[in-house]
Amino acid sequence: MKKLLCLALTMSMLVPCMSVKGEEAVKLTFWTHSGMRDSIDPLTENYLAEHPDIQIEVSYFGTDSIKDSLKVAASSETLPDLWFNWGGNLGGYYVKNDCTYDLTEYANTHGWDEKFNKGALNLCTLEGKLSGFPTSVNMMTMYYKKSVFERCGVEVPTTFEELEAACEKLKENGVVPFATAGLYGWHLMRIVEQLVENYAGASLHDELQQMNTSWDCEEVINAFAKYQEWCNKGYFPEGFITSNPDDTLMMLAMEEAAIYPEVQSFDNTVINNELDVEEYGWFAFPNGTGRVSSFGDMVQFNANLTDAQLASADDYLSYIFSNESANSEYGAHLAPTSRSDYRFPDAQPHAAEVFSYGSGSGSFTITDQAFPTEVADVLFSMQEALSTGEVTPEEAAKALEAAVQEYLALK
Amino acid sequence: MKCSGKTLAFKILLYAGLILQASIWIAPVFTLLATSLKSKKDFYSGLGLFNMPSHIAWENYMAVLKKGNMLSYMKNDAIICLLKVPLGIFLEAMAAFSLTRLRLRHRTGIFIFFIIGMMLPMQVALVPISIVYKKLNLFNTYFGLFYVYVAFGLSFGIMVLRGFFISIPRELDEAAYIDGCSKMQVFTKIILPVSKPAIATLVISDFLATWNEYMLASIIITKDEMKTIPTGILNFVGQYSTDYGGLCAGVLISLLPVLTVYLVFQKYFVAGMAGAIKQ
Amino acid sequence: MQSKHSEPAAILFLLPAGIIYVSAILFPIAYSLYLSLFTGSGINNWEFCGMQNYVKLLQDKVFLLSLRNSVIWMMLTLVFTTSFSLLLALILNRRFFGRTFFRGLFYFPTVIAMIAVAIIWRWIYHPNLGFINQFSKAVGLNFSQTWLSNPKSSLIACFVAAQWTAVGQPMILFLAGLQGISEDVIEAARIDGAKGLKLFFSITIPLLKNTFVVVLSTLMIGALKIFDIIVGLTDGGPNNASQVIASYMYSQTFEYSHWGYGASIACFMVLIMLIIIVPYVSFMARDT
Repeated sequence: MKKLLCLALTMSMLVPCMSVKGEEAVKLTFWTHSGMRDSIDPLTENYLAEHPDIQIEVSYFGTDSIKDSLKVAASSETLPDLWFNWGGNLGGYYVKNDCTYDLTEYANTHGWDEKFNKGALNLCTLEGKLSGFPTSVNMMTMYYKKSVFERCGVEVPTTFEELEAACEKLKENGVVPFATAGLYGWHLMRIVEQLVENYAGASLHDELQQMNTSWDCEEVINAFAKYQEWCNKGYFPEGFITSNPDDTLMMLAMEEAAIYPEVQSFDNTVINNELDVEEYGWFAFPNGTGRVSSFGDMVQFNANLTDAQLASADDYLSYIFSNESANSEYGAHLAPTSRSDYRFPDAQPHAAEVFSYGSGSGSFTITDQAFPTEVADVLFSMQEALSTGEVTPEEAAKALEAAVQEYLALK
Repeated sequence: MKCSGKTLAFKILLYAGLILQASIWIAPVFTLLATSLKSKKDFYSGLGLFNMPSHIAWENYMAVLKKGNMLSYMKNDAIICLLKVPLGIFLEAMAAFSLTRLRLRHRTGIFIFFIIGMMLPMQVALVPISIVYKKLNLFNTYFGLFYVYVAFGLSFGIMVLRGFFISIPRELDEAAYIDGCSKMQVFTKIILPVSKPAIATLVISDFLATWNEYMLASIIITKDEMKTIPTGILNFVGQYSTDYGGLCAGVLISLLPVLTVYLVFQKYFVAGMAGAIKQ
Repeated sequence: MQSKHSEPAAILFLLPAGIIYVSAILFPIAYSLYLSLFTGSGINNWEFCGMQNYVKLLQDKVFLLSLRNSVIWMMLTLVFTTSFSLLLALILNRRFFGRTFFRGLFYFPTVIAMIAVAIIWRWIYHPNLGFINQFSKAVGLNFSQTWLSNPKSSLIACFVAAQWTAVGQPMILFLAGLQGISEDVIEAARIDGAKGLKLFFSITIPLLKNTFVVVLSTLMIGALKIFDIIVGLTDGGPNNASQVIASYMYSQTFEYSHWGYGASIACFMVLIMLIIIVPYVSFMARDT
C-alpha cells in the first residue's frame, strides 16, 4: 500500500511539470465548438506543419459546455487566448467585463472591412467594440419538403394569410405544419419572433428588441395570441414543448412535419445526413417586412494577447475560416459566410440563395442574441406557458415586460 | 419440499413480476442498441424501433472509434480511478482510524465537520476551485482532478469506515500493542485487513463516482487528450447532434468499460455494499 | 468517550484528509457563503448587499416553485424509491432460480453516468421514435404519451426515469441489511405466533433500523442534488414545471451570471441538507 502511495504521488506530481515546453514559439489556446471538429482538426494540423514557430492547442466543447466553461473561466481569469462565441448578449458578456481584445483599431489597419462583409462586422461589434474575428453570418428562413407541399396541394405562401391557409391544409392532410421543438426554447423562438415581426413591423420590432419600448403592447399580444392559437390548432408537433431541437430535422425528413426554420447551413446538414438536398425548398416567412432573423458567430480574443499572439491568431483564423479551407476536402463543417470572398459549394443550392436574400432584404437580430439570457428565458417560459394555456397572451406580454424592467433596473 | 397450489401460484406471480420489471429495465439499453445499429438512410426513412434495419450499421461504431477519442478518454478515466480510489480510501481510513482508535479531543465535532462535505452541491465549488487552480497551474492535470475527487470522496468514505472501525473489537489492537506494534502497524496490519468488506464497498462506490463524474471534470479539463468519458460524451452530443446512430453508438461504447467491470465483479458489488451498514 | 488531550499520532493521522478537505471543500463553502452577500452580474462589479439575496430568494416565484418540486421529489423518493427497493430486496432475498441474475440486472443502471441516463431516457419518452410510443404502436395500442411536455406530469416523468438508476443502490443496501438479520430471531418470532405482515412490521423493519438510516439519508441528499436528469430531459420546463433547486441554482449562476444570487441558493441548499442530515449525523456519531 505504501509503495503504491509513493508511486501514485510521484506520478501525479510529474504530470504538471511535463507540460512545460519550448520558449521561443508563439503559443495560442483555442476553445471551440465540437461541431467543427472534423474540419478544424486536420486544417490546424496542416497549418502547424507550415508554421513551426506557432503552437496552437485546440479544445472542443458541446454547445452548453462551451457556454458554461467560458463563464467559469472568465470569473476565475482562466480564459483561453481565443474562443468561439456567438454574437449578441452571449458574446457581449465578455466584452462588458473587459475580457475581450478590442479589435477595432487592428481591423482598421489590417483591411478587415474588405476581408469581411459588413453584416458580419456589424454582428461582431458589441458595446461599440469590434469584439471578435467574425466566423459566420447566418440567415434564418423556412425550409420545406417539396413532396409534402405537392401531396397536400399547398403552394409556397407569399402572404401571412396564405401561410395560415397552407397550415390549415397541411393539418387537414395529417401533416404537422411546423417542425420545431421547445426544449431550451431557441428553436421554437424562431417562429415566435417571426410572428412578432409580422404584427409589430420592422421599426417597432427593433425598438422592442432594444428594450426601448414596452413589450406589453397590442402588437406583441396579437403575436402571442396567434402563437397560442397555432398551438391549439396543432400546428406544432405533439409534445413539442420538451422535444429536443436536434430531433426536428427528422420530422421534416420523415414527412411528419412540413416547415422547418433553419439557417443556410441547412443544405450542409441535409447532405451530412445522406438526404437529397434537391427534395427541399425554402421561403422567407411571409411577415410583411420581408426581413429574416440573423445571427453571427465569431472567435473572441483574450484582452491580454501580445502583439505577436494577435498577429498569429489573425493569420491562423484567416487560414481556417477561409473560402479555400471551407471548399477543401476537410471544410464540410465550416462555412465562413463572414468572409467577403466566400462562395458556397455547388452542392448546396439553397445556401447562396438564402444568404443573398437575407443580405438584400434586411434582417433583425435573432431574439436570443438581442435579449439578455434572463429575459430570453422568460420569453421561453412564456412560449411554454402559452402552449399549455397556463397564461393568456396578455399575461405573457406583461411577464415579459416585467423581466425586461427587472433586467434594466439591475443594470 | 412441499409444493402446494398456493406456493406455485405465488411463484408464477413472482416470476411474472420480476420478468416484467426486467423487461422495463432492459428497454432503455435495447433502444440505445437498436438505434445505434441503424444507418442514416433507415433512420430518416422512418424505420420503426422494432423493425430490422436494411443492414446492420456497424459503421456507426467504426466512425465513433475512429473519430472520437474514446480510447484516450477511457485511459484518462482509468488513470484517475487508479490514483483516486486506493489513495482516497487510504486517507479516509487514516482519518477514521484517528477518529475511532486514537486519543482525540472533540472527535464527534471533527466527525460532523467532515460530514458537512456530503451536503455541498458540487456546482458551488467550481469558481473558487478554478481560481486556486489557475494560481497553482493545475488545470488539465491528473493531479488537479485527483485532488478534488479525493476531497469530495472524503465525507462518505470517512463515514462508512468510521462506522465499520467502531464495530471492530478493541481487544484486537490491544493485543497487537502488547506485541510491540506501532500505531501505523496496528492500522495497516490489523485494522485495514479486518475492514475488507467496508473497503470493498468504498472501492465500488468510489470507482463509480470517479468514473462517471462530469461537473468538475468539465471545468478542470479542457484539453481533449486529458478528458474523461462523461465529458467526452457531451463532446459527442455536440458533434453528432443529428447523427443518432453515431450518438447512440458513442454512448453505448462509453458504457462498455464500466459495464464490463460491473459484470466481472458483480458478486463483489452486491456483497461489497454490505460493508456500508453496521449491524 | 471524549478525551482531554489529543495524542500527536491522532492529529497526524487526521492531517492529510483534513488539509485536502479544508482546501477543496470548506474553502468553496466559505467562499460561496461570502459571495451570497454580494450582488452583481459581471466579473468585477461586485456590490455588498447584505441579506438582500436571501430576502429576494423568498419572494422569487420560480425559486419557490423549484423548492416545492425538490420537496415533492424528496417525498416521492422517501415513499416510492424506499418502498420499491425494499420490496425488491425482500423478493430477491428469497431463494429461487435466477436470483443472482435479477439482482445484477436491477442494480446495473446504477453504474451508468447520469449524463448518459438522461440521453437514453430522452429516447424512451421521444414523442415520435421513443420506446413507449413505438412499443404501443407495435402491439397495436392506440396510445401516445407526451408526459414530459405536460406541466402536470413532467416532474413525475423525470422522476420515473430517475428510478431506473435510483433503485439499485438502496436495494443492495436493504439486501445487505436483510442478510444481517439472523434466522433465529425470525424463527423465535414465528414460534411466538408472528406471521406475514405482522412479522414484517414488528420484527424485520425494526431490525433494519440501521439500514434505513443509511438508505434514507443518502437518498434524501441525492434527491436534493438531482440535476442532470432534469436538465437533460426537460431543462426545468415546461414553464419551470419541473425546475428543481439545483437546476435553478445552476441557471442563475452559469446562464445569467448572477453569481451572488446563485451562491445564496447554494447556501439555502446546504441549510436544508443540514436539517436533513443532523439526525443522520447524530445517529452515526453515536459511539457504540
